[in-house]
Order: sequence, then C-alpha cells, then structure tokens
Amino acid sequence: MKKSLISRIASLIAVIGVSVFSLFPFYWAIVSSLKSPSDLFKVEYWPTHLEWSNYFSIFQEQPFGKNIINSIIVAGSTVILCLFVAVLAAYSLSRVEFKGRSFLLLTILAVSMFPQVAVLSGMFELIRAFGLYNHWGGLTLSYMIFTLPFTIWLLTTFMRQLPRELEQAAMMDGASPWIILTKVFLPLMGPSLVTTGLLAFIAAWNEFLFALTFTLSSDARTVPVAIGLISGASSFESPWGRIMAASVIVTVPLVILVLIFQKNIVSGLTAGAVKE
Amino acid sequence: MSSHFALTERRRQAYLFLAPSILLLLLVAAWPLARTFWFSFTDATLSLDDVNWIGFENFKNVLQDSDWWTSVYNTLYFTVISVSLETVFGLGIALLLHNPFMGRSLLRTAVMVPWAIPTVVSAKMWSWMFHDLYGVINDMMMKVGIIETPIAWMADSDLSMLAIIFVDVWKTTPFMTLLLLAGLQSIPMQVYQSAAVDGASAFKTFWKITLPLLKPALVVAVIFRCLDALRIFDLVYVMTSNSRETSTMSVYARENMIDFQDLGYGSAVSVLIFGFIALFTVLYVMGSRVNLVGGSSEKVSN
Amino acid sequence: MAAEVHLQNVSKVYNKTTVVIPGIDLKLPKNELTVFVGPSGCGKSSLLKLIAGLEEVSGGEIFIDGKNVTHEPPSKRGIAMVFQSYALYPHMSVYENMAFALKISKTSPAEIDEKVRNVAQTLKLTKYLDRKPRQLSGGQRQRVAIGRALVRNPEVFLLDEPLSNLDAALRVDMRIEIAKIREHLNATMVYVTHDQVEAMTLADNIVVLRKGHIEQMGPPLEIYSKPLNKFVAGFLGSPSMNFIGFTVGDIIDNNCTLSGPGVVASAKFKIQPGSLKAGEHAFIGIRPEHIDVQKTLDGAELEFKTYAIEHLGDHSLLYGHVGESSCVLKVDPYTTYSVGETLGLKVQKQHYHVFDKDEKNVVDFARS
Repeated sequence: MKKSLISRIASLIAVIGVSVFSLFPFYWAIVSSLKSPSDLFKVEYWPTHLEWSNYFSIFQEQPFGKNIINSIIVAGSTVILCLFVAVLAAYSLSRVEFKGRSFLLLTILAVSMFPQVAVLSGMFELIRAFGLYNHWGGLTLSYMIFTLPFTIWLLTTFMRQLPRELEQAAMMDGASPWIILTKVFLPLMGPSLVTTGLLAFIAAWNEFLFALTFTLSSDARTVPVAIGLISGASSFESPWGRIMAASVIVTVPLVILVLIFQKNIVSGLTAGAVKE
Repeated sequence: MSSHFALTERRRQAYLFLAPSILLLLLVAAWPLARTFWFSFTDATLSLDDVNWIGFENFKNVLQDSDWWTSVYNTLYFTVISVSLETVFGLGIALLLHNPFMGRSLLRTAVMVPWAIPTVVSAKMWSWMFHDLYGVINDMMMKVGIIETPIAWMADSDLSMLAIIFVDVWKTTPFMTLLLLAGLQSIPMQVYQSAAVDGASAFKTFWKITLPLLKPALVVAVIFRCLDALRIFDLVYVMTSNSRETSTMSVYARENMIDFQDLGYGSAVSVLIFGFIALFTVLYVMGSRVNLVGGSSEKVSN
Repeated sequence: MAAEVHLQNVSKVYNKTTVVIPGIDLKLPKNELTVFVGPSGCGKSSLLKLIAGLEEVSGGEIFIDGKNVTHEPPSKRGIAMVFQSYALYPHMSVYENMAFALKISKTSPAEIDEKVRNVAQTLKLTKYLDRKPRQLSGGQRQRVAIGRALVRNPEVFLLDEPLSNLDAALRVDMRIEIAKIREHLNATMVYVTHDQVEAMTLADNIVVLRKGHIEQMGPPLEIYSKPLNKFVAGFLGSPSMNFIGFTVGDIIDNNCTLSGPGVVASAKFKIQPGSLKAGEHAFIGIRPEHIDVQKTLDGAELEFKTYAIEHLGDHSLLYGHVGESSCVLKVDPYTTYSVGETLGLKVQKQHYHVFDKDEKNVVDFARS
C-alpha cells in the first residue's frame, strides 16, 4: 500500500491524538491526586506543587489497604480455581470425541451471555445459604459464572492447537489422560495459561455488581466497590482528591501488567478470531 | 460388536474431567437462574422470609412502570450509539495499526490501558473531568471558546447519558480495535496487491474489498459488544447512581431488588432482561448465520 | 521376540458413512518388514492406526501373537510406533523422551537407565542424551523417535511414513539406517509409505492398497515382475509401466496377436487360456527399460512418435505416443533423438504383461 507523505503525517497525527486521548484521563487523575483539597478548585494542567496527603488519607479514612488485599485474594483465588477446573474441561472438549461435544461448548459459551442481574437474586440466596455473604469466598464462587465460560473456551482453543501426533505418541507410551494433560500438554502451555490467567484476573479484579451486592461492611469490600463508594463529609461533595489517589493506586499495577503482558492479552482476546 | 473398547475408557475419563466444570456451572449459573425465575413469581423480599406465590403480578407491575420503560429506552439508546461509535472508531484505529509504523506498540499499549482498568475507576476519573465547576472538560471547552459558561454535565439527564456513552466509547474502543485488527490481519496481502495492480483507489479498495472480507469479524465483534452494552451496569451506577432518568435495565433491576428490597419484583425485571438478551442473541445469530464455535472470537466482560 | 499380526475382516467407517476400509483379512508374517503402500486415501495410515490401537475398528478383530487385542489400548498391545512428524516431547530431553514410557510402566530407574543407554548407543545418540529436540537435526530427531520405540522392546514395530519429512539426501541415509536396525531388531515391522522406492528397498513383503482393498501382497520383486492387475503394475517402478491399448487379433494356442493404431507387425503374446476373445480391447504392459528402440520401422513391432525428450545424465527418457496410448522409453544417453522423430519399438519377450478390459493381468508368466 502506497504511503504518501500526507497520509503518513495524517497517520502520525491520528496516532498521537488517539494515544493522548486514551491516556489523558490518567494524567489528569495523577495531577489531581497530588493536589491539596483547596488546589483542586483551580484547573491547572501542570501541577505547581505536589502534595501527597491524599495518598495517606485514603488509607486512613477507610480500610483501603484491606480492600486491596481483598481484591488480591478474590482475584487470585478465582484464577486458581478457574484455571484448574477449566484445564480439565478443556482437555475433554479439545481432544476427546464424544456425542454432544459441540453442543456442550455452545452451551458453555451461552452462559457467558447471561446478564449478571439475571442470576443476582438466585446467587444472593445461594451465597447466604453457604454462609458466604460479606466474605471473599462468596465472590470467588459467584465469579465462576463469568470467568469459567471464557476460560474454558480459551483453553480449549489453545489446546486444540497442540499436535495430534504428540498425544498419540503419549498414548502409545501408555499415558493416561491425566498424565497426558499434566506431563505432556501443560508444560507446553505456559504462555496460554498466563494469558488465560491474566484475563481472568483482570475480569475478577474489575468486577463491580456482585462485589457491591454481596458485601456489606467496608472492610470486606474489594477495590472497585471501595472506590465507587468513597464518600466525603457532605453528601454532595465527593472527596475527589482521595478518589483520584485511590484510582491511581489501583491503575498503576494494572498498567504495568498490561505493559508486560501486552502480547499475551492481545493473543487471548483475539484467539480464534483469526482463522487457525 | 463389543461394547468395551479401550477408547471408551478414554471417553469415561473425559466425562470425569468435565464433571467439575459442569457441576460448578450448574451451581453458579443454572441454579441461580432458575431461582431468579422462581422468585419472579413470588413476593419475596431481601430478607427471604415469608415467600408467597403471586403469579404474574410482578410482571404486570413492571410492564406498567414508566421507570422500567425509561430504563429500556435508555439501554437501547446507549447500546445503539455506543456500539456504533465504538465500531467506527475501532475500525479507524485498526486501520491505523494495520501497517507497521514507528510508535505502533506505544499506540497499542496506550489503547489497551482504558480497557484494563476497572470500569469504576474510569467512571470516577471521567466524572471528575466532567465536573461542572472544577472539571477539566468544561475548562478546555471554555478556553477554546466552544462554550461560555460551564455545563452541568451530570445534572442534566441527557448530557449525563452522553457523558456515560463517551466514557464507554473511551473504554471499549480498544477491544473493538483489537478484534477488527485481527480480522484485518487475516486478509491476505495478495488481495490488496492485485487491487493495487488493478489501479483501485484507497477508498474503493476499502469499500469493495476490505469491508466485505472483514464482515465476519465485524459481525462477531458487534454482537458481543451489543450483548455487553445491553447489560451495562457499572458505569451508569457509578456516574449517575441516583438518577432515574439515566438508569438502564440492569440498574433498575438491582435498585428494586436490593435498594427497595423487593426481591420478587427485581427478579421479574431480571427475567425480562434475560429474555430480552436471549431473544436478541437468537435473532442476531439466525440473521447473520455466524459460526460461533469454530473460528470466532470470545469477549472478556469487564 | 517378534509376533505375528493377524487382521480378521477388519473394517473402518468414519462418521457412519465414509467407508475407508470395507473389510480386510491380512496376516503379517512375524519377523518380517511389511510395507503398506498405495496412493493417498487408500487406507494405509488408517490400517496402521487400527493395528496401533489409536483408532477403534468398526468391525472385525485384530490378533497380535495370537492374543486378541481388538479392545486393548495401544500400550497393552506390545507395539511401538514411529510417527511421521516424530512427535518428540519438545520440553523433554532425548533421555527423558526415551524414558517416558518406561517411567509410566513404573520400571526402576536403574533399569530405565540401562535400557535407554543401550538403545542410545545402538543409534549413536549417546552424546545427545541431554539435548532437547529443537537442538537436533532432522535425522537425529528421527533416530530419537526410533529409539523411543526401541526402548520398549516391542513385538511389533510400526512406522508411519517416517522418511517423508526428510530431504532427499537424508532420506537415502535414513533408509539404510532403518535397514540396519531391521537386522538387529527381532520384531515384526509394519511400514507405511507412499514412496515406492522405500517400499521396494526395505520390504520383505509389500501390501499394495487401493481404496481400502488389498490389491496384491508379496515380496517386492514378485510384485514388480508379476503384478496381478494394471493398478499394481503401474504403481511400482519409475518411470511407471507403459500401457499400450490394442484390439485383440487371432488367438492361436493361447498366443494372441494384436492390432490397432501404432502396431507395425504384431508379435505373439502368451496369455492364460480363455482370458481374451478376439476383437476385445486390451492393454500391453511393458516397462520403459524393457523396450528395444531402433531408428527404423523395419522389423519393428510398434511405431512411436516422440513429442518430448528428457536428459538425465545416465539415461534419457523419450515421451511419445504409440497409436493413441502415451508411452515412455528409456534409452542410453549417447544416441541423439529429436522431437517429432518416429521410432520403431520391439517388446522384450520375457517382460511383457497383458491386461484385459477389467484390468486383470492375463499374461501367462511362463512366457518364452
């Protein structure tokens, strides 16, 4: 495709424009978080002096530290449970022929289309029945409804790409499906597991509706809920400085994750979109 | 023919491997869905005591509630506009990213960050930017001269809906971009080269060649985005939580269920939403005859 | 110790409709290398997979060493297999690749070590034991694949097109390696290939397959010189046998003459009694190397019109027509021929075949 000078300049402008547009809110959040409450009332694009008080008050005014830990526990346990269960299912779905296999795969895919509200009342009852209300376990369990389907789907796609003859050789060597899975396939699926785990982690970390509904006390909350519910002295004025500080704290690790695992994330999101 | 083949043993193990997933999904998806359906026919409250069957009473009440219809309208309005914008912008950026150039990875990273952060955080950041008195958006618009006095974005229901759409487009265009980029990259180079040899202009190439070949990827991407958009909750709740005028179906459902403690009523709303989405899915899939199992993309809900 | 492989009315159907193998009876003699050869889709790989146990039979039984293994998993049949792509475990070292099966069957580490090192030595892999497959060349990987199978001391050794991923020069080397291993090995070997050179050079027995049927089975030279039908005749040998169409003339004392375009003066061809009738359409089969070529038509039997010439250095090939049938001649590289030239052909009398309209070989092998 020919690239004239004009089109290249136009592309460059577009690239810069889009990048700035994507990242400006973060810049603004950082700038805002470093302002004292009074400074917030003026709009300054470049901070004149930095103040870190917001970052301290975040942890003092509410149990934000505990919230972060809750999020880590919930997202982490979700990933562990999800991957373990999904890897097993993926083996069956990708390598063993049985009746109704494609129907099952479609059904699992269909579950991911459920609106979360549709199961809210039923899930609420279930979590209370298990005694997991206001507990991180309730979240891990309920998160399965949206992490499991796409994780199974993704791992099935990845596993399908492993060569048939490799599995046949292992069968000739006398390997049972469990050994094939653990000793032959999994060692070869490092990147796939990272990708899938990462996407599950991000989905679990960012979840809001269930976390909002199934927790009550502020120290049982996860980060998104904590940020969503930060309230100030009066009911009309939100403590924007603190909110921005909390946002920055949460965003930085995620940005780092995205930077490091860029390629994984892209491959995961588009798995199967390109013809195999 | 004997029925004890060695490969049947393999199949048995396959079922065993599937069992945990199926059980979990039954537990967290099938059962709660069934319970929600059940609750919709009852007068259950959040405390879950004294639950009585009341037939279609809840449904009747929902369908007569103007707030419900407002939320339906809002949801559809939101879906149509945001998905259209995301598709157009996503395609544009994908076309940009399609050819390697300096700064390409920067762009890709920059564009993925909005997708990766919690919706709540996006909502808060943009709410702050849309703040009527101290928001940077108003400031910039005034400096440039588009407006003279600050706009109260969040106070006005139409404007706040626009703001919500704006944030969603900002947050989700990356996802569309990635999907469409993958679709673009699966079009073989030779197609473009023969078009160039035939002397087709860039516009014509795009319209007559790229777009038709991209259609499968486009269709899939749009379906998934629409499904997500119809279910929107986080953004609306955080940005305009107490406004009736901008609530969407999911917000309405939860509000009744949890805030008003009317579990039965809220469940009825949920059932309607579920039916809505199921219908949409069936119609769309039938209409476009897309093969979802082999060679399509999956979405990550956020 | 080697075992006899016996297939009894074995059939294979895919998806309830596609019949790949309608029903085969086959006895593979023990301690011999049998090659399954045939065109794509003939069912040779399917047959191998059925013997291996990697696929279920749709009907029939399979016996190995007298034991009915039809319902046994691959690892319990006493067989080992070398795959077309070698299928080495990429994350394991050569040693671990070869030890894998033994570890699964809970052999003691000492015994594993002994067995692996023994085989490694036979295959000259000892110094590669710590390497990973990606650090090896194609030929070395091949040997590891063979080693992995050898270590299990199988009764039956299956090879699925093991040489097709190698380049031409390497293929020749590996062919010889496999022949050497064959000497050491006390096992029945089943080898699948589409390459008839491998079939001819390696086999003790060849099974020619077409569309799931056994067309002929026997030692290579027998199949080469005594094909039972046109398909087998044309499959082995390169360049392949010429088939020249003609009309049957008189049949006297089981000697038939032929007539038709391209026939100059008919020789007599000995056929089986009652196999042909005068006036029928039939084919002479004669390999390029069994035709005598002369520059004149005096005393010739067939007339040949050249349309292309290829020089291969040690011989040349002449492509042309006899009558309406195409024909290839193998000639010495020193005589000059030109395109469009008409040549006279004489068929060598110990080497011709006669095929009737059903493609069956009706020649009397006791000819001349």
